Amino acid sequence: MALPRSLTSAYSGQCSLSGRVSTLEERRALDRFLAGVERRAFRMAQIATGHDDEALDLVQEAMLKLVERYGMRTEAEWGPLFHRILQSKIRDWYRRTKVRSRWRLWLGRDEDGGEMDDPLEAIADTVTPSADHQLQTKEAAAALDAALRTLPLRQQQAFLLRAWEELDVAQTAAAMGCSEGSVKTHYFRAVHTLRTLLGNHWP
Amino acid sequence: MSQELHQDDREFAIRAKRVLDCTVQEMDQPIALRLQRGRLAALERKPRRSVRMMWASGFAVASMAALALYVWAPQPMSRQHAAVPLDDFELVTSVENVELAEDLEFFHWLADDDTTG
Repeated sequence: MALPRSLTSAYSGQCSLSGRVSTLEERRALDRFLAGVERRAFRMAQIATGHDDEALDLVQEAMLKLVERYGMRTEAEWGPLFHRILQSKIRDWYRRTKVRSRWRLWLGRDEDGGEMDDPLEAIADTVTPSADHQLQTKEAAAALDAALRTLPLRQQQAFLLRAWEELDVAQTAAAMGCSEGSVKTHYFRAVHTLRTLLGNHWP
Repeated sequence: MSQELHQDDREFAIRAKRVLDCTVQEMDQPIALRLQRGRLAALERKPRRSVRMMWASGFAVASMAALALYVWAPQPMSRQHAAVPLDDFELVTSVENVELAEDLEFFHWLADDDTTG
């Protein structure tokens, strides 16, 4: 997975390492990087899948792959590479789930006894804020999560990478594996759909 | 249709980022612990060198080995030189050549005679 050098520029300020370091230092640097990104990565995966366990699995797989395959790379490259791996794993999960749902529908049975694996079913379950979410921020977060889950996956990814991770268009395109033009389109549509869904008074 | 975001779109994105950041700060402890365990498990994995790097390293080692073999291995002797020790051996051991060695003075004389006259 090769990334253009320009894509790593936004991350270069986060580190002082430019070349190879000792294994111990490299491990510490990787630990720092993953600790800094793991929670946001989990939330992205959770929003996409609607399941904590699935999200945790996807994040762990992404962390394993980064360490195993790209741990030797410079620290500046880890950010774009990690997001690319994670988004790719989310897309794979999404495809598998869709195929499984289609088969289940075709076979006319529910293997999990009502457990919701289909992302579309998960959306309906989270639209209404639960009684536990009393705080305004929690309500706002729940509403945002629900709105994000109504978006097509590509729009959801574009919005989270651009607005939350603050990647630029080129970095987002590299992470999503699509063109910069597609990123602009997905992001534009995502913002407008979310604003329509959440209304003017959110949060 | 223009895909440029307006100011209020950008402000919306900033508000969304703020809300998302809050959800990360207030993450459930069990989830945070599971993430931490996952991270530590990932760090136990050793970085794997890429296939391209492995091929390059293998080629470099093979080249160095070939060069070392070429430089330090004993050079094969030419046919002429290789035959010398055997010839010497025959020269020393044959009866005729022992007699030849005994007549060495005669041959010196003959050689001197050739040069002088």
